[in-house]
Amino acid sequence: MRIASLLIALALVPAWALCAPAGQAGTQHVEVTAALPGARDEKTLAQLLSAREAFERHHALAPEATLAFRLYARLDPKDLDRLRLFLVDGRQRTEVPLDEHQRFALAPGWTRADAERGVLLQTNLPDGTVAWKVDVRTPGVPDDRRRLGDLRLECEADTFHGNLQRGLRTPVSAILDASDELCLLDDAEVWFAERAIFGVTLVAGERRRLLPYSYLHGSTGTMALAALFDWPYALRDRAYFLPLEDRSWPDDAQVVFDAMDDPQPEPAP
Amino acid sequence: MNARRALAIAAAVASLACAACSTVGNGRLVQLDTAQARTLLVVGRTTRDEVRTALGQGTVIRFESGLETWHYLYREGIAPGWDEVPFIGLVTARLDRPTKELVLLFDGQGVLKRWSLQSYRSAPSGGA
Repeated sequence: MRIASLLIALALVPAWALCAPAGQAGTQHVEVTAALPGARDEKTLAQLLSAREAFERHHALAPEATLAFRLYARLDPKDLDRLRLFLVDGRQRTEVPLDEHQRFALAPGWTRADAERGVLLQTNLPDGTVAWKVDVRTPGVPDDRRRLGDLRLECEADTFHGNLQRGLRTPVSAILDASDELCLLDDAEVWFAERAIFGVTLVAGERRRLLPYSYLHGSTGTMALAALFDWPYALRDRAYFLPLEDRSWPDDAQVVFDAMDDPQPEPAP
Repeated sequence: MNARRALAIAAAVASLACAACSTVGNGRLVQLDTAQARTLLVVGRTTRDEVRTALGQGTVIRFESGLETWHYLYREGIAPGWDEVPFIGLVTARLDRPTKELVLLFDGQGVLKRWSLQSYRSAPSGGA
């Protein structure tokens, strides 16, 4: 009986609340805060500004290119359907629009002072679901290829500057970072093509080089370790490294992708 | 340095110096040329089992899509396994060694979808 009375009383509360005149004594504002269910995938604004500073220092690698940042789904491609990005400044959250490739650019109003205040770029997805990449594009390069200088510049802006890439840093990398020569190592940076790839060819005029398979898919040795934290699992068939140690390739060289879905070339290689 | 450790290091050095080659598969890759590969590897028809019978088991990477690559490698001048050891592989990869590799792509039903055969020297600019 007591329980029934309590239920009736509770049922009447909302009706009473609706009928109460505004400003009536005893009315109070209640702020309800709830912790997020877990850490969100995020980077600090300071990281992104550091990437931009490195981009500007090494801009000669791609003089016509612009800087953006791109988000990839590491675990499940369907995550991109619900991905959103926010600028978080204390309790203020402002949505940052993403383009059709999940890219965004730094807004002119985002300053170093904001970064020092701890401003974040935060996704709505759990930590570990997103790979963050510097995205440097010279206009006019189609989706089935990239310009080598753009990718070199991405490496300079990311690795140990923006430091967006997940993964293990090799001891050699730590040493070379001190001399700002990290991006002369083949395993310094992993990239992702637009589609699943079967081969990658460097082309500069008449010169061509089909990269060994060890440069693809995090397939062997140190590169597999270096890539380990960025390719699982959705990105592995798009992952590739580049022969950054070979500086004889010009920045204008093309990195041409052979997609898994492309037909077998005839005559066969 | 005690005698046992010295012996182990000497054995490792000797194995690196004396070994003739490393290979993945049954060794037929050494003789395989493009003409033979065209006969053996028919896109849309050749199956994984047929490849395994002909070339032995390659190194497999399976993707979320259901596709998988098989990788065969033949390299002169180093014992098997060293190239795959993280960090040590960075050193062995810089040795100027004749290398041949075959990469196969199978669809989700285990039928050949793509293949690629190439020879190169893993010279200092040859990367990993």
